[in-house]
Amino acid sequence: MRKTVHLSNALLRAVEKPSRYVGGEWNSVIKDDTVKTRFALCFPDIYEIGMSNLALSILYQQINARDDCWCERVYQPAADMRQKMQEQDIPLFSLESKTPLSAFDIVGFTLQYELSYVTILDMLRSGAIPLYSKDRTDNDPLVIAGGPCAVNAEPVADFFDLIVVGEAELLLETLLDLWAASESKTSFLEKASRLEGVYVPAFYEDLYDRDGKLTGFHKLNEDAPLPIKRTLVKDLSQAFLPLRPIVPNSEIVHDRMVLELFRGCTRGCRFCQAGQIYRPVRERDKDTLVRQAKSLMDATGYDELGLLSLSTSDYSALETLTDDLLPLLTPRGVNLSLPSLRLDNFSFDLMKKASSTRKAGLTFAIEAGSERLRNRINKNIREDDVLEAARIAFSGGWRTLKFYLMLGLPGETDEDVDAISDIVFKVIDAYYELPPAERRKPPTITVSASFFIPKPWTPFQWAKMLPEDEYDRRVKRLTERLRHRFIRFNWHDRDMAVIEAVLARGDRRLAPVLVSVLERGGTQDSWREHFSYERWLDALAGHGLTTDDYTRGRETSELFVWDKIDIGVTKRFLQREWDLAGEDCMSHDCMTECLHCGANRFNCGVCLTHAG
Amino acid sequence: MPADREEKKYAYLLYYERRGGITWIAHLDLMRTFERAVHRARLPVVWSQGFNPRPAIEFALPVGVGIETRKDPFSLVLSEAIASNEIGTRLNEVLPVGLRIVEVEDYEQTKKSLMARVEAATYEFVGDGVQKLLEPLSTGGPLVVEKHSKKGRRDIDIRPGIRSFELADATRLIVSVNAGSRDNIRPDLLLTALSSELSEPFEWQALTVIRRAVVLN
Ligand code: SF4
Ligand code: SF4
Repeated sequence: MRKTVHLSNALLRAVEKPSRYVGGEWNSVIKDDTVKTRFALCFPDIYEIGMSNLALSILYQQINARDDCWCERVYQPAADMRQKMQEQDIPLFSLESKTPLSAFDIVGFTLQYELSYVTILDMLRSGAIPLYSKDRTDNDPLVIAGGPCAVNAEPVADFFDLIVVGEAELLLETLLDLWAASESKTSFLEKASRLEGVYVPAFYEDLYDRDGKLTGFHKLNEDAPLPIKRTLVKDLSQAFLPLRPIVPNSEIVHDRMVLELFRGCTRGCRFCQAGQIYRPVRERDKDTLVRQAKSLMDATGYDELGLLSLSTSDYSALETLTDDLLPLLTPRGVNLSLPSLRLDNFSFDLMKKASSTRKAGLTFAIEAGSERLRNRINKNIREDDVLEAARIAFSGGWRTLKFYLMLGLPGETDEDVDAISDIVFKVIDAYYELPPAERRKPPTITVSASFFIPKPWTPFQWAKMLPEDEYDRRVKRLTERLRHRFIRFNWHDRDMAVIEAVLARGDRRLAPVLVSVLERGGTQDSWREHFSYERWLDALAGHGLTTDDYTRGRETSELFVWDKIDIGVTKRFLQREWDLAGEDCMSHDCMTECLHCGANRFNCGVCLTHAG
Repeated sequence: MPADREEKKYAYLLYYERRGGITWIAHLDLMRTFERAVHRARLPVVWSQGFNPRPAIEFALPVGVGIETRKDPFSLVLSEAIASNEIGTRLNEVLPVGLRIVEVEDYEQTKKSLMARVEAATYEFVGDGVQKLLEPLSTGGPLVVEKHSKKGRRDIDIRPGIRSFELADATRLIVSVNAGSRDNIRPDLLLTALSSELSEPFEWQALTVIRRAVVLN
């Protein structure tokens, strides 16, 4: 028996939402303590957020489908609980069996967002596991990671024994088999490193010249591949189909069943990392989805079903899918929710069918105010379409509209900023076109601006991030122009965006910076109330670094630390897109025409029919 | 939503217990948990009318975070008659660990809501030192607690709301109090008030709090 943690009445009465820490939810899995491999699946944020993640839900069910493994969940406790655990010397523990993190065989983290990196370190520390992989022995767990940020995990590379680049589902089975058959961590890592999608950071070293310029990569293990190839599920019908997700006992952020319609996105917006790193688009077959929906209803009892994908309305069989789903859902009182409908193939029929949409309001992710800038970022949305959609929305009774925008996109001028308010006011004009009798309830138009962050593996990976004072000026300009009683304007935290940018294109020199931030009391930086810019700047300075080292523009001749990975899309393609952006030129959606992005080397999905 | 046709209605009164980890969820979450279990059990629950229809499930008395129950009632209205023991069995197959239906009976719905029928509740406090609470329970003076409401803060004497008490053994104290919409004595308030009467500090938070029964009229 491994030692477990006891949560006393007094402790649980002293913290907010103790339900976060007790487990025992429907479909959570309890196994015999003697199972060979004990796997801790860790999400570096609180329960409500971690439990809402589909990828982790899939992995949990998949690992637990194996008799030789028991996968349990570990989340970061909220600040009050974290403090009490420190005071009472309670190590970080799993929800299912309350086993301390250090007693697991494998500890796996998801790299969901850059600002969660310090939380990962905090979880390792409170789980009594040495932070750096080089400091761990065979008595410590194997610490691994995966998830979207694995496409450039360099800032955290030194903390992990192994990082999965790409979709873990198929690879995971092989890895778990290999682990079960391996004598030691070293022999496991040797063999694992040769598998497609596996990155063992200790087997590689970045080479720099005297001026600190990256010149190349050095392999520390002869047989390790270079580049490291991303892995994916070529045919989604072969991927594990999750039918028994955990139903939380207390409310979480996304509290519903979800169907994953497809992976990837064909649109190629030039700022968007997701649009590149999941290529090519692969759809799940409609009948499978309908079957899955039935099973999910029986297995969960949820009253809402969500359709999840990067741009859901691009699913080729969306109409027939919803036609098949609604007769199943309605008699059982289940709502259909459509999270990310696009307005350029706006389907109000569909919206009306999905009764929960009205509550949620309509979302217009136009990203930039002017047509010129939208061409530059390859966002194929015309102003007329926006206005037409707004008109239909208003006359259909919708009153809550949301606009998502970015400030600081490469080449943005004051005219582009002003164009944001122009389009919003034209939408308000569209409201006033309604006959007076229909204008009793005024609309609420929310304008949310985020700051553009150059991300690896996008055509904008070479871009310079705007200086901080320039952001402030543009926000101020926009605030002044968006004054209207219908408009709510909000914008993201500028300091957090800068640190996210530092980490996104970061390298291994940031590992000790992350440790410094942790030592200075940092954790849960993705929460405004926990984030401290000062702390980050001090930690960077302590290691001779500044934010400019990372937010700077890059030369097209430069080698990037993430170039040791082969994600599918080629650097050549991304540069071509970067050049086209410079000329305000759009590119095709690859559903229309293949752009020869490089992802056709996977020989699957949309490339099978569209790649020339 | 299910069709608005005239539905037949069959009402049941169910009693549930909760123990262990699920004791730590809030009442609203508990209600949702039962709703989902009813759907998983494929019980033909009747839906409320209106803009936001809800399954016809009504709890007699909300239960706070950290309070176990042994026999708390709630009503369930179905559109088909189903044998009461079958309802219990089907629900118990799909309830998360810690929740269990202990009894199901047919329920004659009256004008009075289930909530309005609640009169009293019996609590059991388990843990070391509970016998110390006997003294402030026995002496007759006012037991003042602070109540926060929309009108602001006010002090109230909860002594008249205590119906009976008994020390079952050295670690188990049983107290019956008024409950329901008119006068509801919450166990945490009671324990806070009793503890503050003691000369030595007493950490009632370490106790296990169990609602053994809810008395309906
Ligand atoms: S539509 Fe554009 S922003 Fe959205 S996922 Fe696709 S590429 Fe990214
Ligand atoms: S190779 Fe062509 S079809 Fe395939 S993802 Fe790239 S652009 Fe699209």
